[in-house]
Amino acid sequence: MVKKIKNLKEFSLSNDRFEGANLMCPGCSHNIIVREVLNATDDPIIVATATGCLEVCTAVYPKTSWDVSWIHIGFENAAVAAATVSAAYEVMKKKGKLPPATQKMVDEGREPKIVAFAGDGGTYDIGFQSLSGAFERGHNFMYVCLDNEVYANTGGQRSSSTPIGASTTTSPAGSVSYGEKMMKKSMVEIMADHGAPYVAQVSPSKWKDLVKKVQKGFEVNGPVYINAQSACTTEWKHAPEDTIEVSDLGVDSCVWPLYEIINERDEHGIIYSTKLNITYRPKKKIPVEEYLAAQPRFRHLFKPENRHIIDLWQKAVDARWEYLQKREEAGV
Amino acid sequence: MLEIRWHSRAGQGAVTGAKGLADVVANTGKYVQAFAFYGSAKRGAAMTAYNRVDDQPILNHEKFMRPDYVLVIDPGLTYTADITANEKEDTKYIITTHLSKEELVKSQPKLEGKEVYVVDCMQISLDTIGRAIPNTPMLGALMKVSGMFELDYFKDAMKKVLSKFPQKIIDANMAAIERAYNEVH
Amino acid sequence: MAKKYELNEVEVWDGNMAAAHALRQAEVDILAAYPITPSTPIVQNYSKFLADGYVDGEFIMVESEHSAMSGCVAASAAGVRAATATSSQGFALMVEVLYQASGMRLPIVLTVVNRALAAPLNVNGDHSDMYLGRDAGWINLCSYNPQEAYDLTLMAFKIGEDLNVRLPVMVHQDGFICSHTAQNVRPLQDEEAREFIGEYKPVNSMLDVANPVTHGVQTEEDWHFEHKARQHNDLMNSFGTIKDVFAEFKDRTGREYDLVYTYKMDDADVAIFALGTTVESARIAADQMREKGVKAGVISLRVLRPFPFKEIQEALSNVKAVAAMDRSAPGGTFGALFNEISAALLTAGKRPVVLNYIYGLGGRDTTITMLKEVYEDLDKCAKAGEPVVPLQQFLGLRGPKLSFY
Repeated sequence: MVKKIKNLKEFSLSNDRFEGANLMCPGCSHNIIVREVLNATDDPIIVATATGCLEVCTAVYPKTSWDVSWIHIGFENAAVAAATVSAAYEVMKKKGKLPPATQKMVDEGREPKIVAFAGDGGTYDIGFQSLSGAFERGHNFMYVCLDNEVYANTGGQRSSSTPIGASTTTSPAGSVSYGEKMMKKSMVEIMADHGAPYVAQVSPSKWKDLVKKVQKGFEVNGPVYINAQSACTTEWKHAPEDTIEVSDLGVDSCVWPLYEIINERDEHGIIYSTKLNITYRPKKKIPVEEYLAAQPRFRHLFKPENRHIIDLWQKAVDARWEYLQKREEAGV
Repeated sequence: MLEIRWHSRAGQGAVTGAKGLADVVANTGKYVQAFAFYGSAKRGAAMTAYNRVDDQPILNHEKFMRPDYVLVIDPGLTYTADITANEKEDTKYIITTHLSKEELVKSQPKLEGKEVYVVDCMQISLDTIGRAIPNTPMLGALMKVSGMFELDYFKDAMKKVLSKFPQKIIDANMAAIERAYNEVH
Repeated sequence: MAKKYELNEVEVWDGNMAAAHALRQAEVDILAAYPITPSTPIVQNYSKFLADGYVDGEFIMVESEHSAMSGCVAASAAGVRAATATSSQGFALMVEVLYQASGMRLPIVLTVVNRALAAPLNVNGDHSDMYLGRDAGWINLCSYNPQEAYDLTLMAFKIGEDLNVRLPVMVHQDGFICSHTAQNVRPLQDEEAREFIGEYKPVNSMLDVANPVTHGVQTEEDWHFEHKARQHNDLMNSFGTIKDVFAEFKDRTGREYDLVYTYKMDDADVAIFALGTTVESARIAADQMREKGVKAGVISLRVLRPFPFKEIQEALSNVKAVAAMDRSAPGGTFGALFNEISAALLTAGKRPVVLNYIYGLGGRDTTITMLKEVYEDLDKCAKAGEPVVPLQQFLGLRGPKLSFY
């Protein structure tokens, strides 16, 4: 059932099934994203979480922040965990052996939503195989990547989502280095090319856009991938109170474009059409430099010898924005 | 304990043959074992399969065997495989060949003085089943040489083993068994 | 509703077919697996059962063994019956998740077809994978032939799912020598098997969304030790359930299982202590030695974990010399069986000669002749009252003899 949401005030007063009083850093985007995803529906939710900040901060025995069925197994298997819970649900539904209370909700049209949360390490890197397999098999679940572009839980090491020029603890800037050497990979397109019926990129600062996409994702049948920008106050090194502002800078500079890719497909994974929609267009596209300047992880780029990396950044973002617009125009 | 070693090429059906024999024998209340040596070799590679038959439960899991019968279902293996390995004094050989027994022993002197039987399982399977799968005719030949079961009893038992196949294939296999039974000498 | 599979009183099944039928009869809800020699035919047979309408549950062919076991963990936490099969490298890839399965107290069944671990790559049977997982907190049951692979797989569900146990269970069988060797197997009929195992009893099911539950928490220093201690305690105390299930199985089938397997141990002076198919071959060697006047016996573990320490002490109480046969490269020490048997004997105040044989690696044939050589060594030591051969020998190795101590 699609939940009707009128305004932020009402949304923010939703009955939380994720307890805010957890161990995450002040200003952490993960909290905001998880609340927005969970509050997008009133249907029952089952969550699988990869090892990472979210997991270690929300389920430390004997406490839990989760008022939904929740599982954590390991770092690299959140996708298969969620996918197999989904398969188990389908089997028990078919056999007529769901727990009675669950069966009642299903009868009322409130099917459980199965959601995996993982960081970029658990998604782009170590969990990629499991994610790819689960999407290929077509299980009915939503996978949300909390993308803070770094291994934050283990102290800020680079991942394959870390963008060029970022200083991390394993790609530190130094007298002869400007930090990370490679631009991050395009996870949204990679997952869309798996044939997923719905794939989207979101930012917690654009909450309406996020919730709308999550609701769309809950309505389709098959694997859904949501790539969520998760500004990390600790590793991006901005002030905790600046999280939303930094997120907005990412969106308005088009470093973090908000868009969706819809694959019209059948249950066999055969795709009949693909459509990319840009869901947010900045009124004024701000220079990437402003986004970088707001985050001390890029501070060294403003030294004269590293300025060329800022130029590269702008080129990369412009090219990507151009690419997305062309795809949208072409309807592919 | 009766012990049988099959020499075959992977894909010719020695494993199926050994398993089929085991199925038939198990239905008579005896205990059986059927296994094969697999390497990573693919279709066409020389391989061996084995049967053990006993009135008691079979506890022996060694691969080493001194066979009572050696069944060679690919003609070329008479020359390229060590078919007389670990033989006993009275090991009996049933060999697929288009040659006469005398010609065969002349062409492979290792077989001189042994109890050798010949039968052209290749030709028989081509004529009856339409494919070079010489395993079922070899079982027919084995029944004749060993006297393990009467032909009709064995055919009936094999029909059950093959029951998941279409009638045409079952009939062809029965014809193959019968011809090999009559032709082996 | 799944179709009933028509079974003969006696089937000729290899160990893989036997395990596959046991999984089918257990009415597994989620079987998540990945192919690997020599366990592949288990899941191939199972998928064919599914394709022909004999299975109601789901078979998920995942993209790795890591995901196979992860899927089993998730399914089991969701409150359904889950199982898988693997060997060797696949088992090694699962190891991380094996610990998660036992730590989360999920009664998954894993049929392990034992195979060597690379390098060098080898697809044949030895116990490297069994030894790799022995500390993972699972109950480990050992079979010696296809019949036992079938029986123990059925019993594994009943043991692991017992509410006093709630632990995952592995059932081991030797690669090829059991898995690909067809022998007589007397199966239960489908309804008998179903009645024996019983309905799955979900505990803290994630699918029970009205009662949310958190699975797979983190524990800090304050709680981790207590969790692991409780897990160990329950594993140690699972002997009772295991024995009860063995007893009920005997009532139904006449087939008897015990924590420790013994053959002619009552008056044995010398004993071979082995695992897997070698146990049965050793019986033949023991009988042949007895014809020569050597009082030979055979002993084995039916349950590798929990380790039946007391029963081992008792079974070896009158033996003068025992050979611990380890079918896994020990990597710089004695084999695990040697160490565990020695500890049992030492604490019992018994001091028979204990020898260690490393044998059968990568599928090297273990012949009756070789096993008789072991008895000859033991006989010499028993008569001398001390080791008169090296303590650790490599049995069946080509080239110069290799031994230590």
